[in-house]
Amino acid sequence: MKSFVGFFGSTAVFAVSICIIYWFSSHDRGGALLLGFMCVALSFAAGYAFFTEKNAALEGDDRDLKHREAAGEDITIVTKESPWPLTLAISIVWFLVGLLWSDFMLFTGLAAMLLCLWRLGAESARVGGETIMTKEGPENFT
Amino acid sequence: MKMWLTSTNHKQIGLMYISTTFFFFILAGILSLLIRLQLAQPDQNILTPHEYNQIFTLHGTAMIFLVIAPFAFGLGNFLVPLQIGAHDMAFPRLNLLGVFLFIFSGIIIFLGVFAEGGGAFAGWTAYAPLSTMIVGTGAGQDLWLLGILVNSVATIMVAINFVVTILLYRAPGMTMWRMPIFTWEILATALLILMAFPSLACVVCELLLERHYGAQFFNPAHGGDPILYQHLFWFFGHPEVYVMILPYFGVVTEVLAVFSRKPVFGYVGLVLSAFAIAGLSMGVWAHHMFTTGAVANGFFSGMSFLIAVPTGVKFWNWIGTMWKGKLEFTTPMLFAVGFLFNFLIGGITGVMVASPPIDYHAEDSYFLVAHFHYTLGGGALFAVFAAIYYWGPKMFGFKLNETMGKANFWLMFIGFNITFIPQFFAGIEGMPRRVFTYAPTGDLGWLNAVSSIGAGIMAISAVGFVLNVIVSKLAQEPVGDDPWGAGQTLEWATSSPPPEFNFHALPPIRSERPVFDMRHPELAEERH
Amino acid sequence: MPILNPASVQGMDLRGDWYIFFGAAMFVAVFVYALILYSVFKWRKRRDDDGSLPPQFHKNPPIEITGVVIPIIMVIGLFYVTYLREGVVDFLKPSPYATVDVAAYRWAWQFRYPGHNITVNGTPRNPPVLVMPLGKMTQINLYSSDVVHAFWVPAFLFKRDATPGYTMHFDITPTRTGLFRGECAEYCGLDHALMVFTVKVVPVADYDRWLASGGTTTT
Repeated sequence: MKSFVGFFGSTAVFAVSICIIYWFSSHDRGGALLLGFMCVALSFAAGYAFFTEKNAALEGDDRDLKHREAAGEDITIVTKESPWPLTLAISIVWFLVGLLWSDFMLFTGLAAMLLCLWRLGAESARVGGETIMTKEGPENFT
Repeated sequence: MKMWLTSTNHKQIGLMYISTTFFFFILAGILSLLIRLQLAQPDQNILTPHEYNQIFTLHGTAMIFLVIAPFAFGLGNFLVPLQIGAHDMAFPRLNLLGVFLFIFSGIIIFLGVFAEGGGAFAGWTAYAPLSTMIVGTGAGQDLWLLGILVNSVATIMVAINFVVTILLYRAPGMTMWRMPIFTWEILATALLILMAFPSLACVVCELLLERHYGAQFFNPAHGGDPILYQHLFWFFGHPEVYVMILPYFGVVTEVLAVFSRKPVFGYVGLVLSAFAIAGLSMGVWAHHMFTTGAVANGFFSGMSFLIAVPTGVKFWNWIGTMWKGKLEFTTPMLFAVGFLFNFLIGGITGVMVASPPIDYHAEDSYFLVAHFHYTLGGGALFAVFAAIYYWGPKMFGFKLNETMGKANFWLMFIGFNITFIPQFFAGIEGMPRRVFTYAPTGDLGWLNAVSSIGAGIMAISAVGFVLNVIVSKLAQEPVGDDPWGAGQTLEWATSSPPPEFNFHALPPIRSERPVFDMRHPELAEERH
Repeated sequence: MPILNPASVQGMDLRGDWYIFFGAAMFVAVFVYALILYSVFKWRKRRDDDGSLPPQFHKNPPIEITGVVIPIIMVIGLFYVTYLREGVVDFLKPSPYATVDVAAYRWAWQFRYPGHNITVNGTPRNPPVLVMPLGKMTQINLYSSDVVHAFWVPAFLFKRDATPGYTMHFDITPTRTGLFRGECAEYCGLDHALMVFTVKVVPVADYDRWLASGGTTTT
């Protein structure tokens, strides 16, 4: 996590320095603004990581931890399958095509997108259907 | 079938990316053959200008957005969780959404061909105001823009997923400085995508607004600025070049190390150079615009030269990885060494065109075409083949035929160089890119004829590759965990193909090559 | 090969850059190819290999630092060369002998000689001729009336984009008489490939006569 802060932070410093050099060598507002945005985005990522680092004790960052020492803890939660990403992808495309050529497709697409997002949210809230990893491997949580 | 539509397993999604890119690779390859057929002789009329313009637009778009970059996402999807000892990507459903959006984007782009007035023909750069003219570029151009928009959103999704997975889902003991180089390069790529792709999504939206809702961002008659389009586009476009090459640097590093039977030489240097390339590439975008006369040429030229330094570090360390090793020339190793040969030409010509006085002649000529085909075709594409031959056994559970693989390599290597070396000279002679015909002046006739012959050899090689896949699939020799007998990183510690949740047990991770440490405990040493 | 024998003073300046960069590129290519080929042949696995592991070294800081320092020195040198040449080429010298307004449009060119009431129009199948005096500086004012084009005469090793909304100025001082091919280098739609023109460089006396006659005499 420290490396992450370092990489994103130093890239942000780099971005702000070339932004300044660029502004004084070209006086081009477009490019300087883009570099400025880049710096803001990188600083945001680095700052977020910096402030959450204390709370997040990552096993991956523990140099001496062996795999079996992590036993008994939930390693990760994984969804095995979900029909909603495909449905959402179709409705996004439907919506975008509607944006250009058809009001009918626009509104049905919008409705379908909202439906999919709702179902995705509901799926996340439901524990059943998800799988929790334990030391013995995947275990269904029903 | 249902499994392929709803499963959120990262390996399956990775294979979906890879098989889709393979399909588009065949399509884009056929398009490139049509281009070479038309240009084989001066003043030919095999294709009409309108058809030719659509073909080169689609060839560029497909190779960039639907083949080279997404293949790396597929490879990363398959490998990153395996290499860091995770069970899946951080956001499996976002991952599945991303792959479907990517597939749909390709379909949308290609469907444009059937629109009235034909598909997009403004080139993959879609420069405004050419791409905003409704006349002549109808629904095909709109579908192209929609496809690119969907594609950029999908790419941003996959990048977020990579960053979170690599940062938070590493197995116990897998500190960042013990991650395989491929994973590092994917992290640098993801960082670049997050910086660059929003600019693409914005500029595509602006073009759509201008075409449909009367916006005037790029129309000088109403106070717009065509140079602004080029700034916004290349602010994405140049980092995109590195999005297409950084993952393949990772592939080549892994392949060279494994088949030299040595650890990666200069690990820290390779990691830092990846991030240096990523950072610097954000500040060079307008070297595509030297000839506009409206940008700060000195600034962009200096920044572009600087990229040669981290790239040089990579070459240095690749040679160091091979140094005093025991090099085994399997097919992936051949492709990796072929990558070194081709990419070097791409690199040194890249330094040449980064100098504005040279670029004033080379820009938008076949010299430039040859240059970027050496980086993306001779570079990235060779690494794609290296990756398929190297990780194929892990993905599919069978090894590709080595004899056919070597024939595949040599035909591809010879064909590639025969195709693109003449194009350097055609460009210097004065042949502009994106032309459907040319006058038979100077040496252009025979240079182009030779180039087309080379394209034919590459086509034979590609057909040979497809045959190899079929033959090897039928032979179906089962392989063990580590079919090369020299694997170093964690993906070789599990079965081929891996079980659904990747690992039954992980070896202790004490260096960047835990599988080597497991095989040779006497040589294992703790690092970082 | 135009880079061997450019037909303008500016082209000769640009050619110097080509030579220096080509030399540097060749040097790097030969050096790196030699290292790769040496590694490939020297360290390949022999038929009588005993199966032992090669030395497992993974770093060598002095060597690695050398690999950073050498490229940095080369890059600084190349940047200096570029900077000098570009200043020379981009500098717009005062008092040109001739001035030509070049308009690019889909898919042809129009050349106007301000003050002389001469306009040369072309069509895609019938390229126009741009007449220039030998050994005298001609200033080109370049603009576009529709999409982005680029004015490229390979013999002068130079091109410049014609962007709508912008007017670009640059100098050309031809050093050889004759006909040179010019073309549009920035893709501009259907007949981009046919958007060509011819540069005709003539002795100054002929040029003056041509100008005085309103562009009607053959030069």
